[in-house]
Order: sequence, then structure tokens, then C-alpha cells
Amino acid sequence: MRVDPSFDTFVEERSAALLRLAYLLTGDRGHAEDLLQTALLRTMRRWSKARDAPEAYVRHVLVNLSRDRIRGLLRRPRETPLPEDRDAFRTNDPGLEAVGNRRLVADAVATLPIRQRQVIVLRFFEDLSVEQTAALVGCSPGTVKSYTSRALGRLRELLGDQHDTQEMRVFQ
Amino acid sequence: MTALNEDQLGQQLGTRLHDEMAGFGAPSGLTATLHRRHNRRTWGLRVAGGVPVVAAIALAASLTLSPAGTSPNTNASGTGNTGSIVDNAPDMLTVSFVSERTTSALGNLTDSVQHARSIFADGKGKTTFTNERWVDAKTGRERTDEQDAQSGGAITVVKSGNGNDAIVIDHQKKKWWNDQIAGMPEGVEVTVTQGPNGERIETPTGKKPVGPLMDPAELKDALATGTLTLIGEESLDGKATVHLRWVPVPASTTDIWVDAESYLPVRKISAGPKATDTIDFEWLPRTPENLAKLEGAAPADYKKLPCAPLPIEGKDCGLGN
Repeated sequence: MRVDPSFDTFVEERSAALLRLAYLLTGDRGHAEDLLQTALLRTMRRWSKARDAPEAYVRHVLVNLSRDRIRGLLRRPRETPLPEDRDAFRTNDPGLEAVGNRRLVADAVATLPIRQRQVIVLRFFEDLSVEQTAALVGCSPGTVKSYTSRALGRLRELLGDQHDTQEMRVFQ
Repeated sequence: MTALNEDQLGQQLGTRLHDEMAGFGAPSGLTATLHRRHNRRTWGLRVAGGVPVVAAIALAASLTLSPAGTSPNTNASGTGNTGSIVDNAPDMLTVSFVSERTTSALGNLTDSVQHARSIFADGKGKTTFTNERWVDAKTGRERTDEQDAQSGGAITVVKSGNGNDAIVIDHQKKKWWNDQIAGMPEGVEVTVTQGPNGERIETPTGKKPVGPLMDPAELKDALATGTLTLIGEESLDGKATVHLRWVPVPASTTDIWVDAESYLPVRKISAGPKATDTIDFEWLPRTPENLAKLEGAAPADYKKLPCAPLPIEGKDCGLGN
């Protein structure tokens, strides 16, 4: 079966933005790539239906998959400590030390419960309305407002702590 | 200072998230990966829906299409062409899946003998140093043979498994001595330099060593920052492997191939602008034959030194540096 070239164009143009959304929904780059691949594969197989609004279609699949992933986490293999390996490649690059500290707000968002996280990301990162967010998440607009309020309160606490300790005035 | 209302806070949050995500690029080779996975699926369906005579083939084909989360298949072709893509990749082979399996496999290695052969080359590809190491994780016994291609020096270090007790054999000078060889503490990096007499000097710099799949914390960082990516399934010297690439900084690349069944590392090539380090790994059962590789003693005509030379401190002990 041949793949419509317009699908490839869509992937090339939008995959970076969709990966960012997947990352914010999962809080993990590896899982975000998993989710994006699966979502795009589903979109590819239903391209005739999805091609009119492909981004909305993928977004919908990503939101559903991110919720499923929380359930799936319980089935994942546990990580175990590794033995020391003195052959590990060594580098002198001091820039590596700073990697991982650059996503202050994204890290804070990742600590929110999945529903609150979805609502915050969809409303303020994807710029969706309350009604659009409600339709995607599968709840009422009132519930979206309630989740938004609770999540913002939590983020205010979390990021307020950060700016006290790191002198980064995230929210002035 | 007036506190932001919820709308203002949300807007500022969105702006900040866009800033933080700005460097987040698309996964490399995504379109090709999607096509490959799509083709595998449609091929399987086509065969399954075809002529009854090929039903058995269809069954065999469907068995090679692993569902999400199952073990990847091995390369049945065994072509031996390094770098060739294997077509029967599982449907959900992802960087996080492979990393987790490798992490878990490395953590359960108490019953095997590790054999690693390492070749260092300079920026022009010329071999400068080789190292062969056998390690029995269960007893702590180790044997390392190092050869310096430039000076012709050859050193064997045999750790007995009793604390740090070791013997060091200098084959070039035909001398040996008892020594205490401590494993480098975790989290310490060394800079290797050459002393005035050509001796190898390792100086701890206090920096952290890096290597995903070797250290869980660094693996987590690598996954979170997207510096570790899945290249795909490859046949490496006839063995089915999964190829991962780690690029912590531009111009510094580490390619890691892990066995497609056991997920243990098979080869690691770390390449920077000035040097390349290629390590081939084997994970062997603790048979008497493999454990014998850890043995080592100085030949009878080698002279035993009365103490362990410490070139940096000017203590020679008769080594003759």
C-alpha cells in the first residue's frame, strides 16, 4: 500500500511540534517518541479520514495514549542499578553538567497528575479553548476550569520555590 | 508586586514552555521508520489474506511481527554486513524500551564473565593503545592486558579478587611486582597523560564519567534530553543487534550496538575529534575455560621488584624508568 505523499509532508513539517506536545504530556523524551510514533502510525493508516485536520487527529491520539501510558507504567520492567564500568566513555565537556536543568517549567508540569497536566498543556501550550480542551480530554468545560485552577495553584507553589532558591523570577 | 491572575499566569506559563521546548527537534529518520513499520504490517496482512497455499508462510511471517513491548527478533539472515538494516524489526522497538532492557540485563550479570577488547586510535585512525579485559563480577577477579603501540610497552594486571591485591607484569622490562590496584571510585574521571619517561599517568579530574546504558542516572538524562536515539536494527558481524547513538555534544558521538535478544552491549564506538575508542564486548558463561582467562602469572625469567613503582612520586623500585 502506498503512503500518500501529503502524509510525509505533514510529518516533516509538524513532527517537532507534536514531539514537544508528547513530551509535555509524558515528561519523558523516550516515551514521547514512542507515543508520537504510535500516534503517527495510526494517523497514517487512517489518512483519508485524518488528512483534513491531521494535527487535531494526532493530538487526540496523543492525549489518549498519554493517559493509557500511566496505566501501562505499572507493567514496565523495573530499572536496576548497573555495575561500575570503568570503560565508559569519558568526556571533559563541562556543559554536560548543566544538561537536565534547563526545563524548569516543563519539569514542574511533569509533576502534575495526568488530567491536570493534559489541561495545562492543551490550554496554554497548544492554545486551545476551554471547550476544545474539554472535548479532547473527555470531560465538561467546568471540570477543565477546575483542573486548570488546581494545576495553576500547584505550579505557583512549585515555581515560587524555584525562584526563591535559584533567583529565577519565573512569575513576577 | 501584584500577583498574576490565572489567565496571565497561564499565558506566561505557555510562553515559558515554548521557550523551554524550542530546542526540541524531531526524531531523526521518523518518516522512514513509519514507512518501514507500515510496510511490515501491510505485507503481513496481504499474505494472511491471500491464497490458502501460503497460509503457513503467513503464519510464520506474523510470528515475526512482535507486538508492543515484546522482545525484538533476531536477524535470521546473518548476512554479516555491518550496518545493514534488518527488516523484521518489532513493531514497538523504541529507544526507551531498548535502554530499559539493556539496563536490566547489565544489572543481572553476576553469573557471567565479561570480555572486552578495546582499541584506541588517534584522529588519523592510527592505533595508539589496545586493552583486553576479563572480569568475573561474582568474585571480583580481573585480568587486563594493555599494549602501547607507540612505546611498545605491554602491561598485564591481574587482580586476585581479594580486595585490591594485584600483580602487575611489565613485559617490556620483564619485571613484575605486587600492587594494590583500587577500582576507580564511581563518578571520577581520569585524564591520561604521559610522564617524562613515557609512563602512563592517570590523574583524577573529579568530573563525572558519562555513558548511557552504563549508568542509570545518565541514561535518564540522555533519554530526557533526546541525546540518545535509536538508529535501528542492524546485523553486526552476523549478529542481530540494535543500534543506539548518543551525541552528548556536537562532534562527540558514541554508537552502541546491543544484542537483539539479550540486550547486552556488543560494541561501543566513542568518537571525538582527536580519538576513537572501539570496544567489543562478550558476555560469557562462568565455565572453567572462561574463568581460566582471568589467571595470570609472571614468566619464570621475569624479575620480581621489592616494591610497587610510583613514577609520579619518584619511587622506581628498580623498574628502570
